[in-house]
Amino acid sequence: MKRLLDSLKISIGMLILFVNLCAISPIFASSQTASEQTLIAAFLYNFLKFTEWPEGSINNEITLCTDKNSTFEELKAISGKVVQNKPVQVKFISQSDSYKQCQLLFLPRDISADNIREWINLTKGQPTLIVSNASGFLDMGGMIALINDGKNLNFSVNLEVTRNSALKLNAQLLQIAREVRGR
Amino acid sequence: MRNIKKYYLKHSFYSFLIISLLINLIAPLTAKADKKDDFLEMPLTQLVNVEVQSASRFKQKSSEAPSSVEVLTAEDIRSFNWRTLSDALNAIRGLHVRTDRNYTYLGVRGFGPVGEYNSRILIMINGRRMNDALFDQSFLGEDFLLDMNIIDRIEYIPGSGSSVYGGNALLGVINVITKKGKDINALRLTGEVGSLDTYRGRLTYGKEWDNGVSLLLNASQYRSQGNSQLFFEEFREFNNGIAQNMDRERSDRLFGQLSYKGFTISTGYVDRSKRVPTASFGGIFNDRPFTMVDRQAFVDLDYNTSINKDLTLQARGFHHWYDYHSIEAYLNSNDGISFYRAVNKDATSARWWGGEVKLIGTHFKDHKWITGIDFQYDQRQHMVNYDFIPEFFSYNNSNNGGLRIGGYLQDEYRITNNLALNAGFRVDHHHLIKNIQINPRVGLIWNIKPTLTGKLLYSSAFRAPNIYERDYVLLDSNVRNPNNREELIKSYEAIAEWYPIDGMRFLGTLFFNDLNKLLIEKTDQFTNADDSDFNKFMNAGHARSIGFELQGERRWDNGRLFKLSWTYNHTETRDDFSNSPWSKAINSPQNLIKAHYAEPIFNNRFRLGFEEIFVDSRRTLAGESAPAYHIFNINLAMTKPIYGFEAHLGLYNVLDSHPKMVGGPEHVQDVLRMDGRTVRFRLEKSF
Repeated sequence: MKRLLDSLKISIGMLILFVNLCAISPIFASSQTASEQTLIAAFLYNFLKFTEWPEGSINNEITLCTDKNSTFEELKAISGKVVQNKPVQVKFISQSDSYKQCQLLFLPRDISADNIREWINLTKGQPTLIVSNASGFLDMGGMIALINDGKNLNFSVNLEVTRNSALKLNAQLLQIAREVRGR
Repeated sequence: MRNIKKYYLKHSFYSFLIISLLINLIAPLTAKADKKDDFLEMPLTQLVNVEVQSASRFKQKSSEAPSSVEVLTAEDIRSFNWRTLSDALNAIRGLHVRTDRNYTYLGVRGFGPVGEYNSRILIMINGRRMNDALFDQSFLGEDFLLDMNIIDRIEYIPGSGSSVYGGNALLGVINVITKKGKDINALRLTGEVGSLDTYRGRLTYGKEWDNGVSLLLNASQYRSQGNSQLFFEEFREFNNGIAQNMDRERSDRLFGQLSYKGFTISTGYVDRSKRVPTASFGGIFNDRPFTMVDRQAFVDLDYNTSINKDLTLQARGFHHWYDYHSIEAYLNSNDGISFYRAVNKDATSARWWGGEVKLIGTHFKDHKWITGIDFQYDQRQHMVNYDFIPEFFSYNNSNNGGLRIGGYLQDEYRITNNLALNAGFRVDHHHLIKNIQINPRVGLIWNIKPTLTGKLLYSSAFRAPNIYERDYVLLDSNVRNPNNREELIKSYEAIAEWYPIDGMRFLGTLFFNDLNKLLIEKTDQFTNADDSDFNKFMNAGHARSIGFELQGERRWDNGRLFKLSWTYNHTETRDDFSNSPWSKAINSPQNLIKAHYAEPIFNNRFRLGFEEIFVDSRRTLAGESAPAYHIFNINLAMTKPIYGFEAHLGLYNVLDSHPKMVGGPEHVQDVLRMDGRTVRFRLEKSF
């Protein structure tokens, strides 16, 4: 038993030593990481800040909607934040619900491409900013596509579609975007 | 007095461990609350530079699958540094791996008979059947076609899956999915060294071009000297029971994948040889030539397309090569009195090709149907066995071949919003059995709440005898049996899955497996008056297994993982030869407990992984009990390269426990003692 114990101690001791050595080494400068979900929430929050909706289309609250079938707990962190002097409300809706009160609709890629197309058709011309992380979203007629290149999260914008829906995107937003179509 | 001191030391050590682990657990938890807010308040310009963690918490929503699917991801492979597929499978609930210093064998939910070659499990790479066409063997160790570094995920689907996949899916299906070119996105050189003179070198290249062409190449060489001396009590008269330099293993692998639009062409090659120190199959102990060599190669061409928005087509064609041979010295005799050394070659060669077409449709409201046809033409199933020293003498030279073909239909019907019926069946023809096989599957999936799912499943499956069971002639002791038929299983399962919050999953299963007409070898112990001394495989076995599994798992955003599973089963077998009553099955651990804990440290620069596997005692062929054992592994992995370098350190079997594995009928040994503590260090450089 003692032999076992000793060997265990030595092994773990070695590991702890190794870990400690690594810790004090200066090359391990920190770089920040987050899950895609957390980042998406942060991006959406920024989109709410930098979008101008046509006058009269917003009531007392700014509403961020997403498909009911998506399990996206991280979005709830935005709920209650204040954007453009209005509190943000997060809603999980289905296609039969009224989307008209949604200022932003996020369509996660895990709902099917067909579902996403249906949503786009349904909301065509409405002052609702449609964002998705599905691949080929701009080609489907979406407004802002979130792109995970395996390292960072970035986004592309289709201005033609936002213009048709009477939405104005802040120039700062367009500057950061990886690609801007229909300028 | 000394005892007290020892006790004190032991306790202080454990308390230290536990406290440090607790601190690790709690510290990030308290820090987490404000961290999420941080990202919300971060300006966009910074946000685009934050690194995304591979979001693989639960890749597919397993609550919708008609099974209790278990998925291991590339991240898990990195956290626990599993060296081979069998290491990874050993981490999965309900599975237990047995090795005999030759091949690796998988037991499922307490059923792990010895003397067979994993033919009751279907193994697939990217959804294509990989069991060979001779033994229907699943290769799980260094003889598996893929290196661990190009595996994206491993899916384990317990229960019988013949209703979709056809033969061999008796106990479960294992599907290994490879990475894509963009997952590597570099040229990577890897060097690995380890205990027992073990070395691996590897070259990996992956890239996806802007036009959508994706390429992945992987080449590796593995060499292990193994134990220079292995002691076997049973062979004490020969060289004092020491097998000298008989544990060597080598494996060379190649893999390539090129995809463009819906087309993917994949090719793989493995050449593995292992010296066999156990003097199994009647070999002379410590006689150098005893080596087994397995070589495989394949080419797959896949095509995936959406015909319209409600119809998806998947088509595939493949060709597969498999050659095996073993060289073994044994004592032969012409008169039963005087013996001489003879060297025997046992070899097989198989070539097969096939294809499949699969359609997935969603035309009808509330229905999702899948239908398909697949076939495999066994072009060559050749076996030879002969002595070539001191003179040529042939014992076996058999040829076989024919067609396996099957068609299936499955429908997922959403009866109401939270109740779904998954029903399907498959019809199979197999050239080694006379009757057409029809196997149904019914599953009822009830989403009690959005976070809670209940499932009730029933299915049946078959396994045709393989060429080994049909035609094998082992020296002068085995005869072929053209009359053997298919094995059958009926499996019943009830499952509850609960996802209280995102990233957390609890699972409970209750299972009953009823296996009949199992092909078992009729050996001396069953010999009766009207038959000679010859061994042959006959459909005379029965097994039943009842048990439950419990599993809890949590995956945090930052990569922390905690997972605990317990499988309990009661498995019994009986055979028609001796007309014996039901008795406890051979090599069946009643309890399997697995714990996994991975913790990111230093800003997620490193990950520390702890793995604990407990395997209960198992009955051996001699009716003894192989003692229960623990395997405890610690792994330290760098999760981000520094100047293009990445390092991994794995400590395996830290407690140095030398588990005893159950020997098979081919062994003199009743149990085989395995290796103790080993270390592996790996360094990777990306360009």
